[in-house]
Amino acid sequence: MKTSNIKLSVAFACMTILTFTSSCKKYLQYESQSTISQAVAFTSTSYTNTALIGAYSLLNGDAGLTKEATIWSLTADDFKTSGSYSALDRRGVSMYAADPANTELPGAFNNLYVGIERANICIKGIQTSSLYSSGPTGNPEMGRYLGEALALRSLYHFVLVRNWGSVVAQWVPSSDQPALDVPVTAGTAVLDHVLDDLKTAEGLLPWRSDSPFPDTRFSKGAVKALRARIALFRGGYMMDKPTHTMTRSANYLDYYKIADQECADLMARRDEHDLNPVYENIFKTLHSTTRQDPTNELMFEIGAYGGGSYTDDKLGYYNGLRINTSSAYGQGGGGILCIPTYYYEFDPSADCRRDVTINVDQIDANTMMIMNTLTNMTDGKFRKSWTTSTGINQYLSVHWPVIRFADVLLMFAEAENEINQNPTPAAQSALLEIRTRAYVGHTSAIPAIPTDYPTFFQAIVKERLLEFGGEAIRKYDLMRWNLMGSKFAETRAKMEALMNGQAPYNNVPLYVYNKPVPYAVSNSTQEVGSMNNYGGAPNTSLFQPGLGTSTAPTGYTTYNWRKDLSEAAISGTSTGFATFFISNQKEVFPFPSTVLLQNTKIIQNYGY
Amino acid sequence: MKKTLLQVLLMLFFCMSALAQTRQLTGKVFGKKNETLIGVTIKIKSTGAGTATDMNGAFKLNVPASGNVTLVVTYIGYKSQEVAVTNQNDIVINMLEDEAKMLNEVTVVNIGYSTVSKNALTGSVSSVTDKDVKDFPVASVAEALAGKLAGVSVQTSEGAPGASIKVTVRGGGSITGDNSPLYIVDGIQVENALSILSPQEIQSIDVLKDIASTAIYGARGANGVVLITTKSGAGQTPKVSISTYLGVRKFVHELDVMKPSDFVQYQYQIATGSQSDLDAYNKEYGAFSDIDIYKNYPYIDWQQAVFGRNALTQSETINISGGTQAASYSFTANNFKEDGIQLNSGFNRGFVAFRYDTKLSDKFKFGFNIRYSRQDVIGAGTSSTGTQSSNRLRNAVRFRPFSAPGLESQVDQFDPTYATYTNLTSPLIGTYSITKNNYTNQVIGSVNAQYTILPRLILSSVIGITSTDNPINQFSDSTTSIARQYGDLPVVDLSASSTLTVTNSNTLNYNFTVGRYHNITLLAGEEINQSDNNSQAMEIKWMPADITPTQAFAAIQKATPPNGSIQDAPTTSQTGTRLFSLFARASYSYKDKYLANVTVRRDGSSLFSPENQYAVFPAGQLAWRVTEEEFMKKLNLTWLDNLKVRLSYGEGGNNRIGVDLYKTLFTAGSKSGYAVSQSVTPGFAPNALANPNIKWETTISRNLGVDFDIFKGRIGGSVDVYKNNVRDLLLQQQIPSTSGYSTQIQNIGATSNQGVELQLNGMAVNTRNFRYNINFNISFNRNKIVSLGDDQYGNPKSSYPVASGGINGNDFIAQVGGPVGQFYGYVSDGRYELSDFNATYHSSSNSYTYVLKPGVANDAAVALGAKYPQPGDMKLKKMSTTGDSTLTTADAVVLGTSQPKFFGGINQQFSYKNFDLSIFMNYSVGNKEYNANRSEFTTQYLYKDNNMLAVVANRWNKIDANGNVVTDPKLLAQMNANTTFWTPPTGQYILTSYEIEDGSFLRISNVTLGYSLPQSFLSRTKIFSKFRVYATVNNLYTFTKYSGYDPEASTRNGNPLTPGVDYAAYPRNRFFIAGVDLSF
Repeated sequence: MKTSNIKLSVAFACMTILTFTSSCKKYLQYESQSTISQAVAFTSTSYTNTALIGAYSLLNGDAGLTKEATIWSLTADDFKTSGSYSALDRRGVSMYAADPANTELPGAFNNLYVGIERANICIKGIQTSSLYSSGPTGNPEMGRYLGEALALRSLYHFVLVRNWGSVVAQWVPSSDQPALDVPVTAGTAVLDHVLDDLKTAEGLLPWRSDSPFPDTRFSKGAVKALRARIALFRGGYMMDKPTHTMTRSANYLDYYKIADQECADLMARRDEHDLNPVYENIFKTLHSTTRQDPTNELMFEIGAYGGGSYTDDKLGYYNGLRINTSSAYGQGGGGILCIPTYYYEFDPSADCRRDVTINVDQIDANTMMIMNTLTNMTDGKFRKSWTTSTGINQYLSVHWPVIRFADVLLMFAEAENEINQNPTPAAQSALLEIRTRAYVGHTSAIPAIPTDYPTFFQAIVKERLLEFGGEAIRKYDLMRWNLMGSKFAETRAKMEALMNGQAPYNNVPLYVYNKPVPYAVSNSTQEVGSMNNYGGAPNTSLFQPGLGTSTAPTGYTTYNWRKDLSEAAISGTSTGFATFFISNQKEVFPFPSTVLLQNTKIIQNYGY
Repeated sequence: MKKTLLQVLLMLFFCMSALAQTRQLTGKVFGKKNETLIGVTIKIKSTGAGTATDMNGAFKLNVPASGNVTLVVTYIGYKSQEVAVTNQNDIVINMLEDEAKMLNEVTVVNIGYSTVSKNALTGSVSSVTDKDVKDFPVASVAEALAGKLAGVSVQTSEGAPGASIKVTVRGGGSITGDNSPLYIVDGIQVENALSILSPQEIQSIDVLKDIASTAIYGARGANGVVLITTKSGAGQTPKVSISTYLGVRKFVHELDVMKPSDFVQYQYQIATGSQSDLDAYNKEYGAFSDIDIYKNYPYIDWQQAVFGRNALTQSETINISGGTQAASYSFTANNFKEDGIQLNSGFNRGFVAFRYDTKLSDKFKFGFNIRYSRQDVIGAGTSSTGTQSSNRLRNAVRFRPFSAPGLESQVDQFDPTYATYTNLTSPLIGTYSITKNNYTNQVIGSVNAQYTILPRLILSSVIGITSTDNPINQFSDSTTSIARQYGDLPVVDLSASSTLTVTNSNTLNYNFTVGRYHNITLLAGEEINQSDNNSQAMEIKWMPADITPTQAFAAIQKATPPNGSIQDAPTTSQTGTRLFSLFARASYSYKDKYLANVTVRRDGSSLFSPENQYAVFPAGQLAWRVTEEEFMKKLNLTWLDNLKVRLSYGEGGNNRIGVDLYKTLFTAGSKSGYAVSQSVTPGFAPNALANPNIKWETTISRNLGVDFDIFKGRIGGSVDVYKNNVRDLLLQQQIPSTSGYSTQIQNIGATSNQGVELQLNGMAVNTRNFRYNINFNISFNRNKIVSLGDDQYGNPKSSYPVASGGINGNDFIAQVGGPVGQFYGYVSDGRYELSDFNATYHSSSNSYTYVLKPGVANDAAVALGAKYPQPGDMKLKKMSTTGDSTLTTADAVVLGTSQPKFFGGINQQFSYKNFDLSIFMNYSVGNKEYNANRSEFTTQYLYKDNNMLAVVANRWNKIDANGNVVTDPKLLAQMNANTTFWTPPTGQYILTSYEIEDGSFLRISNVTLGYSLPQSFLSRTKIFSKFRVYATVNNLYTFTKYSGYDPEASTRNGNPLTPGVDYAAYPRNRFFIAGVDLSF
């Protein structure tokens, strides 16, 4: 063998061995470029933003907050879920008899904790990041992200507390938790923590006008409004788990003061957020890219886009205006139904909010506007016809309004009244502001603003019903006032009266007769006004006895009106109104059975 | 790294230029009858260089110009002999026949990084050689291997072209991980090698079965190691072999479905439930009074229409091999084309392979291998692990079995309304609705070099690169369910993954003898193995309605999303693994009588955190060749030729687990994104709650084996008994969801496998003209789950349910004490008979109502869609003792397992003069098969207008001759005196014992009859050295009680916990082949 060969082969062997062994420790450290370690992510503001988006992500999607918006928040005296009772589905929730195995509960419940975990990772990541070593003054951008993460974690916890009472609280990432199966924390304690966090977040976040992001992300104003809402909830009646009664903390007024102060701060910055002069435009804004909210009444919305089950929602497809599949718009609406008496709560001729909030109409196969029967009116703030989507598309990219400025005014009015046990002039003026917009064009019809504590409180209770119908607010208002039982009983009594044509419903007709008219989107009052009912538009025909017979005049179709309401729809076990509600028990949901299975330290809520 | 490799390669090529000084030796070889022998191997003992005799029995060989040379002459059926050559130029060699050797042709066994003679083997190794697989004209070696090796289970999941083949050695120990063995082809790791290589390329396959043997492969050895050696060139004159065959595949066995009349009768019966259903029935099928006309309707056999074609397969292989004294080469090219029996399915493959070995000097050997292959699996098949409606066998079985005036359009055109309420599309439309091409382009290259540093000290190096590209194009036309979700417009899915694997191993081998009898071999080595994977995927929706698949693949930009919708973002991902190992082996033998082997390997893997990265896997083996003992020799047992006892103990790891399990990572994606404005901003999501303490799954194995040869080598065999325990199995532990995660992976499981294997080879007849060889093997394996970790209370978890996917919900259970893969469901109790009820007569309606007698099980909730049981409904047994007679999920029980009591194969080879015949059978006994098709095809669930299996025709009858529903118990009793089946339930599909069948089978998997032209004739042609024609039938017949297409089907192989499910499996075929092999 030639020497050169020997040399070469020895070199060959040595080289290969050396190449692969000398850096063996390093060799075994493989980092995929598709993933990024969490520690690395928070050394970059751009990655931190991406991580934060991951925490925002849980707001939307099939298991996002629209689950609370369209399922969990029903029934109240405004709306309920359509269909017949089953303990296992959405009607079980709406009838206040959800089974622990109910399929509407676990997905979104777990989703909230996924959101909390991701927010926790962001909070820890930012707080320990080298970029944030000198705090928000050194890096305001990272500070803002920290504020948003705190706000998200607070919102997710709040949703858990108001639906389950006492829940497992997670304030650090799960990987830092010594044990994951921990008992629940009292809802009051969770919300105290949340209120502190939001206080911190306020300091970190800029006002809307200084923020580069739209109101789909938290601004200072949004956090303040959210903190006011949570403070009022904390200051209201909450489910006390050990005694399973609705109780209110002795120092509840302290929380009203927090809300009062936050609202006052916001009302001092009308340049940032103010009432939208046109009530309807708030909701139209949610449906399209054309913003019709110049005053930024919408303080925080959940963004929706992408047409899929993770970043979009079915608002307007699941709920809202009922639209026939064969119409020009394609199928929409029908999952949420109006409580018949709610329609008659509004001032029929003066309050512009009624025809926005309730669809007395529906759209048929020929894209004509026709009547609904009395128990089939739908929620009106969501309409597929307001979107640009047509056809079979189920995901319409409609945003969900979490909080808007009108709530700030009414919370302020309520807090002032509660703290002072008397409506202050500022409180009165706030209520008047709301009514003035509602009674646009009919301001002379505005009812007198009460001047004493109890009447003013009652006025607030009523005004919030009229202002926020279908916005997933009513049930939780009634809960914190501990009025669920009494208001449900009152509503049932009203429904009986309506069914029987007793006062104040003595002029409500048994039947209405309707001819289809072409549907063209304009404003809701005009649209409803254009309907062709025998005896006049709904504002007239639904408020006078009419012919009283099921036989329609020639050319008209009969719709059951009072006739449509039966005992079954009031107290029945299949389609009744909140039939299975029991005070001090059903205000909160059962923990999903799958959750109890893995965490044996959680005890099922009383009554389930 | 790449640069280094390149340098090394260049260097090695450069080395080839040197050659040594030689002279030419010629000679001739004769057999026992003084005939010339063709193809006798002649090798120079010292260098290994060699040649083979030509058709005249002559050979030419370059030997060193000076000095004495020893030639080793070997030939099948003859004793190999050594011939000393001094200065002759022409020699004559006479061979002596040796029967004892005939059965021991595989005398050299690959044990990983080196070979040993079979006698010196201390571990449990099963081997086959080219002649065991050559008679199988199939696309992949794996298909030819089923039943050939004791302890090795080879299971084809279904009959589809290119269907996945699961190879399991001794049961497999992992529950969540991959149980595939490690494949080493010519020294380098090649994933799924048995499915890639064709039988023509194989020289030998050695399967290391006991962990003590696989321990040299450490972390990758726990599932067994399959060592494949490909053919190398031999001989001096170039030899060209051409092998070609043509075959036709036929649909074997059909599911018996209801004929038109029974179908319409059944539709009428289910329509009697409501007036609206009756109206629909009348509209579709006419009045009941006219139902007799369906008796004469021609039956349309949709299964024949879809699977009944004569599916052609052709294969052409050419091999050119040859060499010089110092170098040999072999070149193989193959073209293979198969039509699937299902329309619109098939398989195409082509490969070229080149192997070159050279000896540059006495000390330096060098070789390389390169193989390029390209394959295309066509068609989406019938099974899918997705939802029930993504499994497509349904259409061919359930579509209305006739055509009628007014209904033709449903056959020829897609009818969305019909599809919605029947869950069916016309079988022909359905078959063509998805166009799928699954391409695999692969380059495997390896370079090996061996340098003899000192006479007994050898350095060997192997570098291998495997590059695989796997693009998959799928087009779902507007009739598919996915298209119907997106505006009835076609959807294109394009995905591609590529893998680059680099292996390098360097070993030093030192062999020496101490004193006279102590022989010691030491091996030390180092190895790296790295794999980098990239993948990308995109789904493009809203393609134009009339676009063709090829147009769609060529221009996906033609898609136009509707207003407000956007396409999903394309995804890419990258993963990789690194493995670095050091290993050593010491082998000792004393007088070839006492043998010992000690192995240790230390592996470091990137799959684990730096703290847990390394693991050491030790092993030891002992063997005692009893027949070498003096006292045995003195006994003079003439019938006992050889007896060896082997004992081994070893530890191995399984690193076929997911990447990055130990660290928490963010993965970005639009699913974790948020719509800040009119677009989705992608967000980060943690991939899992990482477990930094993840460590190796470890298998501990013990093996006791006996090898024997008796009756002068007429019978040989081996028996092995083993017990393998796997600990630290990785399982997904359920954790509280309030953590934000539902599971976390933890080392909490344990399993065990124990078994016995027997392999027997016999030479039954051996005369000059007639030979009859028989090989038999049988394997028993008992697999058991030992631990599944703790439950939420801290107690050992006893079981958890598993869903196979697609139908029947949680139909498996993983249970401590039971085997992996237990079917879990309800026990069928036939149907409710009238005697189960108290009947009450209602004079107002002149009808009876039925209430279950007390104590009779009520399965309404679990089986009947919450409808109260009526006479004739499906009845299930109450198994639990809790609660009343109402059945709940607590009444589900274990219904069996697909693991056989024993399995194996019988191979018989005959030769008579120039005829050869081989019959190969494999069998499996005691295994249950889960016939999920039965669930779907006998349950009504939500769907009307679906056909059912023929057994349903004999169901409970409640309709009298006039079409009225009968409730009178006496009449019902009369009407159902001869019916046996229950009313197809309207509840969800569930698993009952009715679907669990005996899956035992004996399959005549291959029969080949060949004829070779006589040598005397061939030598006159002066062209051919071999000319053989043959006819083969693959899968000739299967003896089984199983009622489905095939008892071996297993369409849920992705999860080790759900084997043995026959759900919508592509039917197996019978394959008739005629072929020619010729050489010149």
